[in-house]
Amino acid sequence: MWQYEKKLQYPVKIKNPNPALAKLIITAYGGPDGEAGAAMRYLSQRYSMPYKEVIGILTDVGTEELAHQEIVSAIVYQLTRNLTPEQIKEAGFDAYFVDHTTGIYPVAASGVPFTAASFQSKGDAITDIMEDLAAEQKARTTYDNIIRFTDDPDVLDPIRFLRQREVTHFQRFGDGLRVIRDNLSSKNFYAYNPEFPGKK
Amino acid sequence: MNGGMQTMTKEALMQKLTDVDFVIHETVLYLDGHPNNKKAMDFYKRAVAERNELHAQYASQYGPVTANCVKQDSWTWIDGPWPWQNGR
Repeated sequence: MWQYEKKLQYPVKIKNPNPALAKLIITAYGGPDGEAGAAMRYLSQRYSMPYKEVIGILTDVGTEELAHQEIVSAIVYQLTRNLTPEQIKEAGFDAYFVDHTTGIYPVAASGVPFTAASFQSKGDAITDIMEDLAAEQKARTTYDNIIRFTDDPDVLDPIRFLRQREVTHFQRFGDGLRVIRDNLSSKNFYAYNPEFPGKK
Repeated sequence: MNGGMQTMTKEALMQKLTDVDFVIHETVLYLDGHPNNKKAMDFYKRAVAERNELHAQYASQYGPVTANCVKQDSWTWIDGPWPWQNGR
């Protein structure tokens, strides 16, 4: 089970609102490579994972992704405070606003709502860990793309932290892949599913 | 109180911890909506004191409950069974 800690993993202190930027950054919450999908992906995959090291990695990275949802949400929240209707319209934030006002909703920058269709839980240790490695790279690219659209240091600071976590998680999933490979039977050179039908 | 708990099995101690954690959680939900209720606040404090004792005992005797309460000298956090593995 889980217990909430009343702190951000990394502080978010944004002085100036910027609804146009918020509309892009929301994708790191509910977009195809966002933190919501990341958390659901890893926390779903861990149940059938045969190796305790990888269960630990999936559990602990998945838990951290929950905390990253909170950081991204805090950024979007602080970027959309104290807006006038004119600022909302000028920034192109009106479409989001009419659906959600300034509430935080898991959605892609393109407007597609959060969907589990953007991730897998395949029940194959190698397939799942390969997806996880790719997912961390896709999330890192997303943060790289967000960085292209702002020079506000208050925003760049926590975004750069989140970007670096994607790099670190990629390394840790690499550890997981090593553990899985070390556990494969020497006869399984095509790396068939070590989870089913139970042959490792 | 301590004397009685020393002899508890892993399963019994985990069940007790689960029970007390649930009692605390119910009290937390109630206090969120009734932050000035003195009786609930006193109940909460007593339950948390009991929980902390159970938690510390479980962690040192049987292994960690959270990733930051490992008392052993090796990384016992990942040792099974995980909660969904039903003792396997």
